[in-house]
This record gives sequence, structure tokens and C-alpha cells, in this order.
Amino acid sequence: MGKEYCGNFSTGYTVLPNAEGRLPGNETTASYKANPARIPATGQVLRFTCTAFLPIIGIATIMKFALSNLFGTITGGNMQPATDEDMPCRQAACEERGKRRGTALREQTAEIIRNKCLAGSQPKEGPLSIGGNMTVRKSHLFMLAVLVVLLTFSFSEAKLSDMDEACLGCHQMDQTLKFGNGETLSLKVNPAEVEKSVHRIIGCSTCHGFTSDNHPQRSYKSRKEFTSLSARKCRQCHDTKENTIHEKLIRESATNTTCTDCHGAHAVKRVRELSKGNQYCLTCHNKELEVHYKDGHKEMAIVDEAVLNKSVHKNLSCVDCHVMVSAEEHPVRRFQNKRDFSIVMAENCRRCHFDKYSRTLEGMHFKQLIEGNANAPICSDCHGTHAIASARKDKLANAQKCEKCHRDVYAIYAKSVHGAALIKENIEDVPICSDCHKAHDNAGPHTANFRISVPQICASCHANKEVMQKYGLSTKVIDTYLQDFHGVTMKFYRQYGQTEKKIAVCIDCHGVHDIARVKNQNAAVVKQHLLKRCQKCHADATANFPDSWVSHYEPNIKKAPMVYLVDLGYKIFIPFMIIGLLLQIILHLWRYAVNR
Amino acid sequence: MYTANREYIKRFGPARIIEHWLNAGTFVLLVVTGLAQKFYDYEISQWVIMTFGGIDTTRLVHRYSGIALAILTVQHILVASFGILFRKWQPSMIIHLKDFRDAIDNIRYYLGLSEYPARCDRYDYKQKFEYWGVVVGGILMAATGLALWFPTMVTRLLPGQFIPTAKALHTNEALLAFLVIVTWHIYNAIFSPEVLPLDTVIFTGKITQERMIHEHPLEYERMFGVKLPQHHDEDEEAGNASSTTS
Repeated sequence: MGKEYCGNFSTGYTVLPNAEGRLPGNETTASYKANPARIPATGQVLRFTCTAFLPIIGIATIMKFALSNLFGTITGGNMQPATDEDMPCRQAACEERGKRRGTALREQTAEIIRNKCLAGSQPKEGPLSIGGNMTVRKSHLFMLAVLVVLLTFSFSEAKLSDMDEACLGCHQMDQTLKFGNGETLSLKVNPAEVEKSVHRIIGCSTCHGFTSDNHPQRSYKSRKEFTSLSARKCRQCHDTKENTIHEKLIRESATNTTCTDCHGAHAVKRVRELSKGNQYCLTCHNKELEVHYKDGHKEMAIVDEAVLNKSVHKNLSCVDCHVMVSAEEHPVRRFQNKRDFSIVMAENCRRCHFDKYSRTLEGMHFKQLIEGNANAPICSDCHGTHAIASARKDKLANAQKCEKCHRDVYAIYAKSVHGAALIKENIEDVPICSDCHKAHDNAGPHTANFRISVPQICASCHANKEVMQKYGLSTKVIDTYLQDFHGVTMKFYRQYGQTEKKIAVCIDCHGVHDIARVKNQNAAVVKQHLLKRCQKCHADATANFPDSWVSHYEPNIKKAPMVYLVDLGYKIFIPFMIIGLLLQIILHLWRYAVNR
Repeated sequence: MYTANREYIKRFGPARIIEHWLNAGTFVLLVVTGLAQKFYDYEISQWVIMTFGGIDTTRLVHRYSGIALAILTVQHILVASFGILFRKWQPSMIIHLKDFRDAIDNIRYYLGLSEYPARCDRYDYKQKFEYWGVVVGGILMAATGLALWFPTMVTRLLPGQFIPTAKALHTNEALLAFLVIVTWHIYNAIFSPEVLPLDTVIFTGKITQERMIHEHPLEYERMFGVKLPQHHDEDEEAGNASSTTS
């Protein structure tokens, strides 16, 4: 066989001799031939073995522990050694506790505990070590065979053992346990719960260590201490290392988070049975689980289902946003702090909202973020996380999102004609921050491009007749601006992207966030304010200067009589003159033609 | 003496010719850069402005051409005043009552109500109209242009409304000047059947005796001390026609 092929077990491919019958050696890789046909044969056998025997082995393992606790004959050879260094191995305390127990069961429990401690310190010695030798495995297999038979009976009727019935004899009644800190715990156990539990076969004492005839009194400082100590028993059978998040939770917050928090105690169920459909993750994440960041901060990873159901994302499942996590896998990721986590998470929004995401790349918030300002807003800062709501609905709420960081600007805005209308009168026609600055691709107001786009921004409302009519405002403001010196200049600047020189746009006279009402205001006061604005560019402007702007009105006999009359005069005079001259030309030509 | 004489009579010296062309040049520049600003929405205006290198450059060109035209206007007034006062130049551009009569007579003649056209002196009423249009318009344009250039200085003394008024005057007067030039002046200098294909007087400074007699009979009479018959052109034309046909 060795001559015929060299198997590659890691991939399942076998290398066969090539056409010339030569064995692969120094030839090029092209002469290698894989024979996938062989794989199914091997694979099928393996798969069959696994499917057929693994459940039996699994059940047998559980049973073995159940019996080992009952008879105390099997050593803890398969016990998981507590290599976890975070959990202090209080060997002395363990032994002390072991001595206090007289019975075989107590001996055994003490043994388990002791073994755990010893295995932690000398993991490779003796038959206790994990992954042990053949002796251990043989006894293991023997026990399995016996237990399979026993199990068959156990499964056939979901009844509790006599021993458990004995426990429940007392624990069905209302009793309470008092803890050192005054907390109490009901000791009542619902037998129905236990019967339905997946653990019904292992019996009370496997986890609790007590039997009906051996029930020492113990005291705990708090309920938490009790549950965390009780939950340690789970690890006798369940390898927390299989799932990294379990390992982490238990290691990092052994006193806070225990197995029973999620899985239940007496009514212990599989997670799949506990969870309901879409909200699988909530099985654990409705518990007070702690997230630890590298900087030492902790946070509850609790998610309120009610909040989720109100969000626009209620039909999505958790893993649509929380990628990398699934029902099977929950890798432990460690972030420096909560902000880092949020920033990384916000990257997932683009999976659906790519248009918005790509626009944010042009925004100044994103620019700040990549420049290292971790406080620059990300998607979730404005839109929220689990409580994500539609961004279009509430204008005031949208404006208030900006307020979170831009407090001073918001305060000014709130007093402006726009802000006051929104906040006090709830008029939603007024612009909010994002209407002028844009929500995602807000390039920043200090750029020249923003400046020259201002008239267009204002025009989006002030040239809209429908909206302006409601408030009795003129829509000519844009045209009158564009026809004037500043407007024409601005138009050309905009056209060829002139960005260096500044030219007055709407905000230079009307203000930016502090835009005030001009209509029906005291003309003298308006003019006085306007002069100050003029002087920003025209430093030598005097009191008369603001009048050189005839405001946003077409010149008329009342507002600007001189301009109106001059215009009117020329309107009559130019056609009169030109028509007269043309007539004379025609007459001249006619006379010339007649004279010939 | 005057019949079929192809002799040229000197009409303008080189100074006047140069002055005309300088005026024309700055005027064209002003019209191009000015109208592009007035009618900024048209594609051609945008092309003009872009060709000049943007709105700021266009305005700069406009302003400096404006200064040039203002200087030309002022120097003309000064030179003419000096000539009239100290060099015994004839104030032949002065508008007389006769010019109005001439205009009416000419129109009557065109309409066939009168037998003869008006008999004009060195400058006929059409030329005087254009001349004063340029002089008065030039002063007006310079004044309003400066007001628009330095609005803060103007508003120190004058009410603010003078600035938009200046703009209204400037822009309307410019349009008027432009239209008069393209219709009246260009017609009279190029397309009028009397000068077609081109009136060369402003290039050479000389006018044919024939045209002189026809267009400026009074000056011709004064110049040569002769008395032309009232109906000279009909006679002449009839004579020419018979001589060519026979």
C-alpha cells in the first residue's frame, strides 16, 4: 500500500502513480493526481460511525457522571482540570470542606474538587490527567456499555429517581434560605420543571452534592455567591472552553455571571429550546451580562426586546448587524473601549446602507474620524443602535441629535426665526441642521464650496412658491439676489469653482444660525444691522451704504423711485430711439430706391 | 467745376482718425465685457467671461477700458475747447436750431413731401446726434461707472439709492449706445447705399468731392466760395446717367 500511494490525510486526497507508473517524487506538481473517489468511501464510514455512536457516547458520558456520583467508584479521570488561573484554587479550603463530609458521596465530591485542584497544578501525572492513558479509556468504555443499558430505562419513563423524590419531598414545600447579606432564596423546587429538564437523569445530588440522608447546613454570604458556587458544578461536565464566550464570561465575571443565569437551574434547557426564533441572541442578552473593555470599563450587554421591536430594524435578526456572531459561534472580541466597539459596529451599517455610507466618506465627520478623533459621530450616534428609528419622521428630534455635540450652535439656532418656529410652533417647513449642512456628506461649512452653494441651499425653500405662500414670503429673493452684483459674481464663481475670493451670499447679510425676521421689522434697526454686515467686506461703508442695495424688491416708485424712473425712462426711450432710427434708415433706402 | 470731379478733399487730420479708432476700440471692449455682464445668463456672455478669464478679470478689463474711454472723452473735450478758444477752430459740432429743421426737412424729403433734402454744413444732424451721444454718453458712463466702482465713496456724500440708480443709468445707456452704434452708425458707415461697401473717410481722412457736394454742400460752398444749386444731386445723377448711357 505504501508503494502504491501516499495518502494525504489532512486533505483526504490521495496521490496516485502517474501515467508512466512512476511514483510522485521530484516531478512537477502537474503529475500529481488526486483521487477524490476514495474520499466518500472513507468519509461515509466515518460519518456513519459518528452519527450512530456519538449520541450514545454522549449520553453515556452523562450517565457515567451520574453513576460516578452515585457509587463513587469511578475516579475523576475525565474531569476537566481547572487550568483557569483566574479562579484561585483554594486547595486547603477544598480539603477542609472534603473532610467535613463523612459519607462516600462527600468523599467523592471532595475528591472531585481535590482532583480539580491537583490537576491544575500537576496536569500530566497519574490516571487523573486529561486525555489519559489506555487504562482510563478502557474503564471508560466499560462503564459506557453498562450505562447505555441503564439509560434505556431512564429514557423510557421520565421519572425521577427515588433519591431525587426524597429531595423533592422537602423541597416542594415553601422554604427560604437566608443569606449573610439578608437576601433570601426560595428553596422550593417545582418537580414538573425538573422532570422536563434535560438534567432530570443526573439527579439533584450531582449538582448539589447533598443527599436526603446527608444534608449539612451551609451558609452563604449572598445569593450571588450561592449561585456562582452552585454553577461551578456545571463545569464538571460542560467544557466551557468549547464556546469562547462562555469561557470568557465565566472567567471574567465568575461572581456576576453564572451558567444558570442563562440556562436556568432546575428547568435547565438547551439554548435552542429557550430561544425564540429571530431573537435567539436575547436568550442570553436579556440577562445582565457584562462586557469588559481593555481600558477596564464594564458595560451591561443587555438588550431590551421591547426597544428592538419598536425599531425600524425589527424584522432584522441580531446577526444581520452583529456579523461574526452566530448561534454556533460567538468569538470573543476585545475592544479597547466602548467607543472602539461602536466604531467597528457602525461599519456594518454599510452592508445595507451603502449609499449613505459612501456619502459619509465625503463628510467632515468621517474625515475627523480617520484623523483620529474617535468622538466624531458615526452612524449610531445619530441613528441609535437597537432603538434605531426612521430618520425622516421628526424634524425636531433630528435637530436635537446635532445638539448633542453642537450645543452652542443649537442654542443660537433655537432663537433664530427658523429654530423658534420649529421648537415653539412645531412648524416643520423650516430648515434644520441637516437641511443646510447635509446629513451624511456634510463637507463642512468653512469650505469655499459650501459658501458658494449657500444661495442654492436657501433657494430650495425660499424659491418654492407653495411653501413661501403659507408665510406670506416673497419668492423673488433669490432672483433679485442673483441679478445683483453679488449674485452675478457668485454665480460665476460657482460656475468655475473660484474659491479664494469671498462674495456676499445670503448668510452674510441675514446671518447664519441666527437668521432673524426682516419682514415687518423696524427699517432703521434692520439698516443698522445691515451696515455692520456690509462693513465686514466694505470696511469704509457709511450709514448711507446699505441703501445702495434696494433690498429683495424689484425697484418701484415707493421703494426706489430714482431707480424706477430711470429704468422706466430708458424702457420708453430706447425703443423710441431705435425704432425712430430704423424708420429713418428704411425711409432713406426707400427714397434712394425711388430716386434711382 | 464740381461736376464729375473725383478730386479728394481733406476732411480729418491723423489725430482725429487715431482718436476715432481708439474710441472704437475701447468702445468694442466695453460693449463686449459690459453686455456680457448685463446679459450674464446667455451662453455667449458666459463664453466671453470665461475667455477673458473669469468675472473678475472681465470686470477689470471693463473698468480699465472705461478709464481709457473716459480719458479719451475728457481729452477730446479739453482739446476741442482749447482749439475753439485759442486756435480759432470752428465750433462746427454745436447743435443749432437748423439741425432740427434739417432733420424734419430730410424726413419730409424721404417721405416725398419735399423736393430736396436738407443742405448740411461740415457735420450733418445725424453726425451731430452721434457725436453728442458719444460725448454726453461718455461722461455719463464714466460718472456712473466710477460710482459703481467706488460705491462706498459715493455714499459718503450721496444717498445709497444713487448706486442702483447709477447702475440703471449705466446699463441702460450702454444698451442704448450699443444699439445706436450697431444700427445707425454701422448703417451710415457701411450699409448706406451712398457709402457701400465702406465709408473710407475715417481711414484716409479724405472725402470725394462728389460726396462732399452731396452731403456737406454748405461747407463745400464756404470752402470753395461757390454757390451750389439747390437741386444739385438730381442734376448730377441725371447727367451721370445720360453720360454713361450715351
